Amino acid sequence: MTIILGLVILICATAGCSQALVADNSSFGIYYINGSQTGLEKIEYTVVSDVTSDVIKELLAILSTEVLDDEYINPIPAELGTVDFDLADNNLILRFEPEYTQLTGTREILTRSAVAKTFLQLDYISSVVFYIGDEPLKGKDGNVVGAMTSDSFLDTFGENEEALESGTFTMYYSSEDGQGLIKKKRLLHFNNTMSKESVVLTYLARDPGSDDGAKAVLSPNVKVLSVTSKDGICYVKLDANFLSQQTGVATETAVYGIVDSLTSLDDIGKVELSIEGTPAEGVVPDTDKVSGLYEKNDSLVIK
Amino acid sequence: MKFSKSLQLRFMLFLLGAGVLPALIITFVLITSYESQMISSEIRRLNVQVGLLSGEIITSGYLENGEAEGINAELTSVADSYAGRIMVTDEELRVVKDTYGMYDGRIFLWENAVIAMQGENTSYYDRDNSFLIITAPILSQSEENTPIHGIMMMTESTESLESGVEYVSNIGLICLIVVVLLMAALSGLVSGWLVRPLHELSSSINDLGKTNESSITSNAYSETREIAESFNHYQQMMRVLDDSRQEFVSNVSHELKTPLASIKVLADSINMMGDDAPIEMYREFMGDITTEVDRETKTINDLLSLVRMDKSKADLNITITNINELLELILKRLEPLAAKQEVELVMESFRPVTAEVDEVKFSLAIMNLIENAIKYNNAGGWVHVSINSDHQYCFIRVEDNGMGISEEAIGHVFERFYRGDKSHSREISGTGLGLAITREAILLHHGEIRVSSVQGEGTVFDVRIPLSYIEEREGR
Repeated sequence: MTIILGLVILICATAGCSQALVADNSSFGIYYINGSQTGLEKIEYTVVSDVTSDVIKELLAILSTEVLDDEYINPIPAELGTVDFDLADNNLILRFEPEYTQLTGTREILTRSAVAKTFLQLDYISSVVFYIGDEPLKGKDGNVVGAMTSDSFLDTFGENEEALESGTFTMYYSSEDGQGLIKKKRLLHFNNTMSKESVVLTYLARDPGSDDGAKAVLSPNVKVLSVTSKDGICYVKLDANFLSQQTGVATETAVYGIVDSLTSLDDIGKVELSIEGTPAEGVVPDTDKVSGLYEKNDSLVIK
Repeated sequence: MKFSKSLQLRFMLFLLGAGVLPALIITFVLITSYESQMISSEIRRLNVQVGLLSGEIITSGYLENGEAEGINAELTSVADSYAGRIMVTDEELRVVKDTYGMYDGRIFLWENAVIAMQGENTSYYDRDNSFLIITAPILSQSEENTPIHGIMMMTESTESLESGVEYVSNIGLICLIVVVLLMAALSGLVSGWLVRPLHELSSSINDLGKTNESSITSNAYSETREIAESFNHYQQMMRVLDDSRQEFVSNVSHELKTPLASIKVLADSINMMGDDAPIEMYREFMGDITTEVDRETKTINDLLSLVRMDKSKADLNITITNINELLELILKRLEPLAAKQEVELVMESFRPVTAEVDEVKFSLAIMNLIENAIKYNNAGGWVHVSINSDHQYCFIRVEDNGMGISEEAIGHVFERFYRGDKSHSREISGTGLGLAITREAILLHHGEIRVSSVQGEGTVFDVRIPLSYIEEREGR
C-alpha cells in the first residue's frame, strides 16, 4: 500500500516538475485588464468564427465587451467607437477613432498590450501596430510607438514559475577524458532574474546529459562569488574550491570551458578570472596560475 | 497507563512547558522581526539609491535624449555593487536600459512596474531566488505633482542577508535546545522534590500497620498535613467504632446470658429441692422461667430487627403511605397498653401527610417512640402525638409528661442496650434496643430524630423525614 502511494506521489511530482519548466501558454485566451488596473489577466476563450476577418472582428468585439465581474476590465472601452483593421503580411493594423487619445498613462499601455497580446496568439499575426485614423500611434515624446511582436513584452518578474525564460547558448563542456572541450549549442531555461553570465556558469556546473560523454567543467560546490560585466569584459570571481574540485577535468580545460562559453555571449570579449579564499589542504596553491585575463581559445575544442 | 496519571509527570510537563514555551515564542519573534527589520532597511537603502539615480536621470534628460554614457555606466556599476540588476523604463513602460542586457525595448507589464508607473513605490522579496526587487516612479523629488517620466526597477541579492538570518536562527535554535534540556532537567528535579512528601505520606500510612504508632504526621505542606489529620481522625473514628463494636458484642453476650443465668438459678433451686418442692413453688418458678424466656426472645427479636435494619439498606420496600392512617393504626395497637398504664393517648394532625416510606420499618420506629412514652410515664400522664408537614418534609412529634431523661443519659439514649436510669431498668421491661432500632429506621429513610427532655417533667422526640425517598444520599 505504501509503495503504491509512494509511486503515485512520485509520478505526480515529476509530472508537476515537467510542467513547471514550460510556461503555460498552450491555451488561447483573451487578455483583460485586472480589476485594480495594475496588470493583465488571461481568460481562456474559444474562437467561434473560422474566416480570418471574422475572427478578428469577433476578438475585437470581445475585447470591447464589458465583463460583469469586477475582477476584469475590457481593454477597449466602449467610448472608443469602432475599430477598423487591415491584415497584410502577418502584420495587423488596428485603426482607432481619435477618442483613443483619451486613454492615458498606464491605462493606455495596458489596453494596447492586452489587445496586441491577444492578437499575437494567432498563427497568422506576428506583429500588431496601432493607428489613429491614418496616422500611426505616437508616444508622448512624439515618436511612433511602432509594431508590437510577441517579444515586445516582459510580463512578469521574480515569481518562480511564471518568470521562466529560455534562450540559446553556446556552451563548452569538458570531454570525457577531461582534457578537451566539446562545443554544444543548447536551449536553456532560466529565471529572468538571472543575468546571462550567471546562466552560463550555472549550467557549466551541470552535465549536459548527452551521449558523447560531455561533462560539467565546474563542480557544484564551487561558489561563484561574483560575476559582473563591464565594457565587454566579464569579471568572474570563484572561491578556492575551484582548485580542488574533483570533476576529473583538467584545470586548464575547466578554465577555457568557462572562458569560451562566456565569450560566446554577445557583449563579452574577454574574461577576467580570479580565485579568492584559501584552497583546501594538500592542494598546490595555483591561484596565481589560474587568475588572469583570458580570451577565447579554440585550441582545446575537439568537437 | 499508570504513568500518565502521575502528578509528578504533570508537574514536570507543566514546568517544561512553562519554561520552553516562552523561550520558543521569544526566539521565533526575535528571528522573524530581525529578518523583517533587515529586509525593511535594505528596501530603504534601495529606495534611497533609486531616488538618487532618478534625480540624475531627470536632470540629465536621459529618458528624453536617449543614450547618455555616463548614466549607463553608473547604472551598471551601481547594479553590480548591489549584486543585482537595474532596469529603467520610459513613460510608455518601455525598457530603456537593462543592466543585464536582456530586455531592452520590451514593454514591462509586471504588476509592480505598472503600479510604480501610477506613482507608488513597491517592494517584493523573492525568497526563492534570494532577491529584493523594488520599483519606483522616476519623478522630480523637489517639485509637487510632477509628471512621471518612467520607472526604475532595482534588484539586490539577499544571499548575505539570508545567511545572516540563518546564522541568527541557528544561534536561536541552539539556545532553544539548551533551554529545553535545562528545563527538562530542572523540571524533573523540581517535580520529584515536590511530590516526595506524597510518597512519604503513603509509606507512613503503610508503616502504620507495622509499628505501634497511632497516628501519622506530615509537615511538608499544609495540604499533606490536612490529609494526615483527616487520616488520623478517620483512624480514630475507626477505633471508636471498633471499640463500640466490641462493647456491643459484650453487651449482647451479657444481655443474652442474663436471662439464661436467671433460668439456671431457678431451675437449680427447683432441682435441689427435689421431691420436697411444693407445687406452688414449681408454678411460681416456672412462671419466672417463662418470663425470662420471653425476655430473652424479645431481646433476640430486637437484635434481629436491628441486624436486619443494618443489612437491609438496599431492601427498603418504599410505598406511598398515608402517614396519618399509619399513626392511627399504631395508636390503636397501643391503646391497651396505654389503658393499663393509665396514660392518655392523643393524636393531633395538622394536615393529611402522604410520604414514601417503608411501612413496616417506619411503623416499628414510631411505635417504639410511643411505647417508650407510655412506659416511662406516670399514672394519669399523657402522650401527645402530632403530625405536620411542609412541601419537603413530614414532621412527627411524640411528647410525654413522664419521667424524663437525665442530663447525663440524654446523650446515650440512642445507643444499643442503653437503659437510662438504672434504677428503673428492672421495673420497666425493655431490652435497651428500642431507640437504637428507631434511629436506624429513621436514618434509613434519610430522616432526622432529636430528643429533648427535663428529668421529672417530660420528654419530646422530634422526627423528620423527607416526603420523597431519594436513593443516593451522602453523609450520614
